[in-house]
Amino acid sequence: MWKVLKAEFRYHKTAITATYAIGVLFLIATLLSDIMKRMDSPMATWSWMSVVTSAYIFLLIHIGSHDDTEKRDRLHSLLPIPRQKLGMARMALLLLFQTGFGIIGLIGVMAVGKGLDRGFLYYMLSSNAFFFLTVALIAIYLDLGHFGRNTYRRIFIGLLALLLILIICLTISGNIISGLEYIFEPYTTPAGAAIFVLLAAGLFYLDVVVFTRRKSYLA
Amino acid sequence: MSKAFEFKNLIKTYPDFQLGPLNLDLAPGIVLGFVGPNGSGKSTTMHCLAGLVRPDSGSMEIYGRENDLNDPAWKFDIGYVGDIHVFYESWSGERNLQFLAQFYPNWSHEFAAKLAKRLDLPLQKKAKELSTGNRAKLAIIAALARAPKLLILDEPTAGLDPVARAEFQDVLFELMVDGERAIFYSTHILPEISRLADELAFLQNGRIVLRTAKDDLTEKWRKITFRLSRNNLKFESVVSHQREGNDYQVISSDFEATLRQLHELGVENVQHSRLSVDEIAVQILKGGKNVESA
Repeated sequence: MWKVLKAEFRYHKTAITATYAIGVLFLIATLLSDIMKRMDSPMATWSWMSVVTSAYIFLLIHIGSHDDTEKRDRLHSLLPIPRQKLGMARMALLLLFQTGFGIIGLIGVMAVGKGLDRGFLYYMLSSNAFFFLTVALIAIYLDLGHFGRNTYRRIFIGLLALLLILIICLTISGNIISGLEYIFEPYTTPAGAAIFVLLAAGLFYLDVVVFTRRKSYLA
Repeated sequence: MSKAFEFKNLIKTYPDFQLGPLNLDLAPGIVLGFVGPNGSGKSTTMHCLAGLVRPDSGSMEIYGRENDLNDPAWKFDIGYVGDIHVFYESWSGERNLQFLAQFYPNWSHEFAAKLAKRLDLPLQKKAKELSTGNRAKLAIIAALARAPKLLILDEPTAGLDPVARAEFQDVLFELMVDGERAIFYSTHILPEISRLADELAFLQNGRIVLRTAKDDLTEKWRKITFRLSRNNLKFESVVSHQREGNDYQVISSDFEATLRQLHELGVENVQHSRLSVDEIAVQILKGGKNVESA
């Protein structure tokens, strides 16, 4: 598993370095510019984080498209590595990228200073877990495409659609609580952060299970 | 001694195709040519064996070990050259080989380097810059350098020039000298396998229609010509026949049995000639009648 992870890091090192460099450079630029004077520091941090998030998404798309074109799953599936470990390696790669960006984010917040309170730390943890959760959902969706039939994918999309409809209904109804608030308010609480981390861990595991049970590793 | 591989009632179903139930095995020291037209299920069989496709049912064993994707010790014993060749495209051939080498304890860098030289492969080039033929060479080196006991070759010479193809065949011959290895070689180019194979299995529409020793095949199958004025005769072991007036030309899968019957009928001037493996394969895969396992 570690050999595969190491190879992936080495193979994508230019893209990874460039993406992290963008994050660090924008952090420095934010700290040095007078944006700090014009905005309150959390606002500046969030502006910077949106750039970092965009760079991170670009990195994921870059790596994902390479792996897809070069049929990386097929290459790795031929190796004498237990399929479960291979599934874990794929998700661990995403987790490591995410953790790296989380750390940069934390450094950014610490550098800005004022934004570093306990609530913000929970927010960081929740948002990173939420981002990882989203990526894991995409990975599960893609892996479900290798079961020879679309039933599982349809069920998966159906469940996501139900969730989305629920959020929209809650948002529209408004008389109890805004749907988005309902989702995002726990972001800054310890319980909320724990829920998001547990959900992310659960989806990590679920994708490993789905990957392990795939009917085909040709792509 | 364990079989190199063994399928029992292997089934893989797609919406428009079913492979199997397939029962097939291979003893060490044997080269089994796996012959069939496009879409007959050769690659699917190979994919199942290599662990790239999960069959719906049935069992597979490689040197006595179950083909379990979560316990891949059996993969140390196989070398696979697939229908497409996958690499880290931005890495050189050499770096790709180094990546693979770390997973196989029996990997020989020396053998890989020698074979690359012999096949005239520029190992320093990035995989994405290699021609189709050179990609095939890299895949072949990657499969052989790990010293596998079972080679699974799915149209391995597609894209190779005639010189490289002949060189590859020579390498396979050399590998088989010790008598411990086995090769499962899929192709629809018969002359390629007819030199190398000890046995042939013919696959059609996902089923094995004939499994036989190659020598038996070329020995037993004959083209027979004779004159006979009688009608409505059913000939022994005749797979196909043509008739013009009283002149018959038949293809027999057991020419001795057919000759015996012809003699009993008092037919004279019987002439027979051998068929090439290619010609026999065409007859078998055209769905000739009376094709039975020899």
